[in-house]
Amino acid sequence: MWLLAILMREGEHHKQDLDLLKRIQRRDQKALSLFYDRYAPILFPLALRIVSSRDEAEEILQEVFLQVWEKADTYVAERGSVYSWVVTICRNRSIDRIRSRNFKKKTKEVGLEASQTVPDSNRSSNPHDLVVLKGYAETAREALKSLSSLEVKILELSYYEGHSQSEIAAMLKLPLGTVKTKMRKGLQKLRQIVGEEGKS
Amino acid sequence: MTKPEERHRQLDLCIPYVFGRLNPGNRKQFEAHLATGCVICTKELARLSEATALLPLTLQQEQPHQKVKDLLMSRLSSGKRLSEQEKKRGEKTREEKRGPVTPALAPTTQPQRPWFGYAIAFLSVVIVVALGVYTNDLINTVGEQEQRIVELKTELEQQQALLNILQAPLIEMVIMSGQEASPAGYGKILWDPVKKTAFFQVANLPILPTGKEYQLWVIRKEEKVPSGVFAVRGEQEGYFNVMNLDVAAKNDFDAFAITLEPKGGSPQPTGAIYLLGTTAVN
Repeated sequence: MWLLAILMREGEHHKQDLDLLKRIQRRDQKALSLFYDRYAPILFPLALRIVSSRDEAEEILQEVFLQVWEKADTYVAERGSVYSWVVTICRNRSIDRIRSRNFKKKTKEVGLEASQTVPDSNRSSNPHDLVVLKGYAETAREALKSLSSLEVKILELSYYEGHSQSEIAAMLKLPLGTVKTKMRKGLQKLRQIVGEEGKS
Repeated sequence: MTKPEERHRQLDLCIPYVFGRLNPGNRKQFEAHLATGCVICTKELARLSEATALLPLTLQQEQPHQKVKDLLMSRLSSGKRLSEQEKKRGEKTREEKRGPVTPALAPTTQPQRPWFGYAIAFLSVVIVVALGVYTNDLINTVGEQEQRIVELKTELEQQQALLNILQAPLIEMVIMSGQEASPAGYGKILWDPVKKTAFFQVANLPILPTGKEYQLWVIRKEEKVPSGVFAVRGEQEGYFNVMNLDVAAKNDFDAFAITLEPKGGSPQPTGAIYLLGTTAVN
């Protein structure tokens, strides 16, 4: 399963990412446009999942790509793939957004908006057009099946909602030690899929 | 060289670092450690980043509205124009500063002793490293300050909202008490019936389960009006502002209630009541 890591970090997709980043550093707008098309369909649902507001998710998406435009040179290859770098930027910006707002007045329409799929001629209606990194997405879904439901829940609470381990322990009424262990085990299982542990 | 026990301690910081849960001090320390080039922590960080980056791949992919990309590209274009202007301005200034080249000022080609070159090179490296460390410190400090500014702005907004309500000629208040789902909970809501703005405090509410939020309701006879959603993130107390509250005086409605609802709120209450404050009692 560590094949996924090799594909992500050394495969053609990653090479194309690196090439796009180099072009972005040279202020090539076409490259950023291609980079956007490549990752917006993944980053937008991620931001939406965290902030629960379509308007805010769209703002965050713009901020993420502006950051890529301005700071493409801060990508450090040793710390992971371009994909994980841009996902981290998006996740951190989204979590910062929910941490800085502690109340949001929502109308009935806004509340429903996040969960509704509004048909729109400007959005692709063909699901096949939307699947970016298709093979990776399928592998990721398979990978998540190897985790227990509690491990998935703990990881999701931490990743999508920014809760600390002690907050999660209180929410799930579990000892802190159990939460730490489950989180570590869940991450280890995912790491085995993306890391080189299969080799060693 | 990193000692084994120290390395182990730093490795423990990798998970909270990836999840953004390190406090500013520890984060700064960990980033300084990474800057030393620790291969073990860097690899661990890379593996954890790749591992967590799998999670978004499992979400249903969705293309954002075309206007998002259009706006982004237009912002780039305006930024690009600015950069080019700045570049031209910079070049002009350099030209002006450089002035005419005078033969008498042209560099001489006298041979230099090799040790002098090495000393210059060494000093340059020292200066570059020192500047790098200093810049890194500055970046970290700016990040911390920005975070603090966000917190202070939120706090200031809350205090301003409370002050605005307290300054109103007429203020109404209802005290909410805990119900079966939250016996220890309580809350107060103060509002300006003219401007229809409110400030409320809640305390001792249970931490939210995943995918849920608390929702404030105005209850008027059979009608339940949704008035905002909020999250309590582990604090004992929480303070919130409400704009456009759909109530005037106390005799205009029957009660305020807080229920547990799916994230984003519901058009009608679906979950248990956690706090309730009736106008009759208050």
